[in-house]
Amino acid sequence: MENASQGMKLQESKTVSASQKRWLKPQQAAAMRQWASAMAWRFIIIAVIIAVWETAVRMELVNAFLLGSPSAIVQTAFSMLQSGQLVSDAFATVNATVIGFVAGSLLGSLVGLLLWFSSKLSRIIDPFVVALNGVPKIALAPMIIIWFGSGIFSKIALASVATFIVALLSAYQATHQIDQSQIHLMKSFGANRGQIFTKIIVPSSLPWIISAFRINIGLALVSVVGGEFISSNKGLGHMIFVEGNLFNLPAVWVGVFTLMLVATCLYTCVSIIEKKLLPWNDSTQASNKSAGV
Amino acid sequence: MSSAAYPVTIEKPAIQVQDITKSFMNAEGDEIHVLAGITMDIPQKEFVSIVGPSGCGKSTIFNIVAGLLEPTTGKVLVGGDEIGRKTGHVGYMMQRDLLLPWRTILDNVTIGLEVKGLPRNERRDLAMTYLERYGLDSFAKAYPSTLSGGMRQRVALIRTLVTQPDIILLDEPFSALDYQTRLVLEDEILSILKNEGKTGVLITHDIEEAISVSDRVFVMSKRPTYVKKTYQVGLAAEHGSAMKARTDARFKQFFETIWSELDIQMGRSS
Ligand SMILES: Nc1ncnc2c1ncn2[C@@H]1O[C@H](COP(=O)(O)OP(=O)(O)O)[C@@H](O)[C@H]1O
Ligand SMILES: [Mg+2]
Repeated sequence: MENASQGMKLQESKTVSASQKRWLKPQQAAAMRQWASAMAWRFIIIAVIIAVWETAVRMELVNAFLLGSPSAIVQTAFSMLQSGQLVSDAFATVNATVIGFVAGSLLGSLVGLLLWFSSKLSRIIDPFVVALNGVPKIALAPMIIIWFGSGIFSKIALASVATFIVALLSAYQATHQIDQSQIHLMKSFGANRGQIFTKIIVPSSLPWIISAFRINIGLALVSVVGGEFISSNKGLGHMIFVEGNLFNLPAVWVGVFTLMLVATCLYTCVSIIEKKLLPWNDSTQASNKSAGV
Repeated sequence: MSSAAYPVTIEKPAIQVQDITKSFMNAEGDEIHVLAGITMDIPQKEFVSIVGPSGCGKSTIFNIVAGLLEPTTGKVLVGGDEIGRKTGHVGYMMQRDLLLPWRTILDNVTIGLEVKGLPRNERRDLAMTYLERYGLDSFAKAYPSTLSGGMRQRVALIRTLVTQPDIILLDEPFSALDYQTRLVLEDEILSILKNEGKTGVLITHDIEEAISVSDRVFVMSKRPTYVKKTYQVGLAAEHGSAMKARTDARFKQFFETIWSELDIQMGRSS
């Protein structure tokens, strides 16, 4: 009797996993079809914009000097690629963005998480963090450039400061959203505070921390480009600023499009990291999908 | 009576709950007296049940015994020693399954062993044997969100059993299970406790379940809660099985007495 019903349990579990597998296929196929159709529409939209823009310039409906034209932009892009200027500018910007982002986000998350250990300290510094978070970080640029010079270090510092505060705040808030019962569960096994921290606080805060990363990668890029506008000798921000002053609109467009490309690549990297770190999190996968369309 | 006079023959009760009271503050700041003074002696190697109306404070008693919550007054002794602010002295399966969503089923089951510092290989092997025994081994790598409520509850049970505690607290462990699985698991738990000489405390809203597995049933009053009555049952111990205990003639008598003791207070479980 016992054996029979345990056998039944086994069968029940097998059929559940089998039906789950069968479920996935039509869903995946539908998702693929949606993705393909979205991509097709995107290409059509871009093609139409380019065609209308170029035609309008050729027929002199708009001022080519003030707007640039797709063909001139492509020409400029090629010559900037050949001279190596575009790549070295893009590299300088990406470099400062990534280093600043990683340093600021990791350090900020770590500090935010560690504040869990001292509710007294976090209560004391809470208003400071909130106040700092309210300051537009680019307002710190002149000071940081005075301290760190006009080279890459000031850009890294700017990106770090901006991302540090957001990361700290999200991680800190995440530790306050934790299900108290999960902590009780750990305590019931006799866990100490260190074990509760590594096994509950850190993993359950991770979704918040990662979503701060998504905000931060954009913030880091804005900070670096803003810093480059103000004072620098390299980078996409520098290039756009200089070419803009020369009224070289095609070159400005090249800079803007390169920034778009850089931003897209960086966001994609963060999304990949997110999927790697949160394989269990269905909701983030769902939000990725809806954000991707 | 001093235990020093009979150092060998007298065994300390596994759990002694001594005149515990507990009050909570509600949202309006009023004090709510939940436990009015609970005294229970749970002898070693017995399997006892606690039944009582929903919201009377059964889970609160468990939280206090496990050391997660401090009583307002009174004390708890486990193995004769006051627990104070200690935790980890009992295995506790809580009312909610509390599976950690970021861990696979296997890693959820091993978490207690991790806390206790067992090496990785040993805890995996041990967890897999338990998962196989309960027909969940094919889900070892799955995440909790893909499991049904009944499966999750079994995983939570395994997570408690795998640490092999001497005292096990089970808070409505079978509430999400279908009737057949429940009967099988009742017997399974019973044989684990009896074979390994462990002490078990079960909270249940199912009077039949309480009678069929227990040596002793504590019936709680409604809030403010005290132990209204204690019944020596022992049918499972006599028959060696909870399922056979249900066929005993006294089963129905116990059911009717306990039912009338609870009468209409016995609402739906929360
Ligand atoms: N942490 C808490 N804060 C305030 N009230 C609580 C808390 N825990 C339990 N209670 C209250 O105590 C009473 C008993 O709860 P509980 O022990 O869960 O009952 P039972 O398990 O018997 O259904 C309930 O009225 C509940 O609202
Ligand atoms: Mg309860």
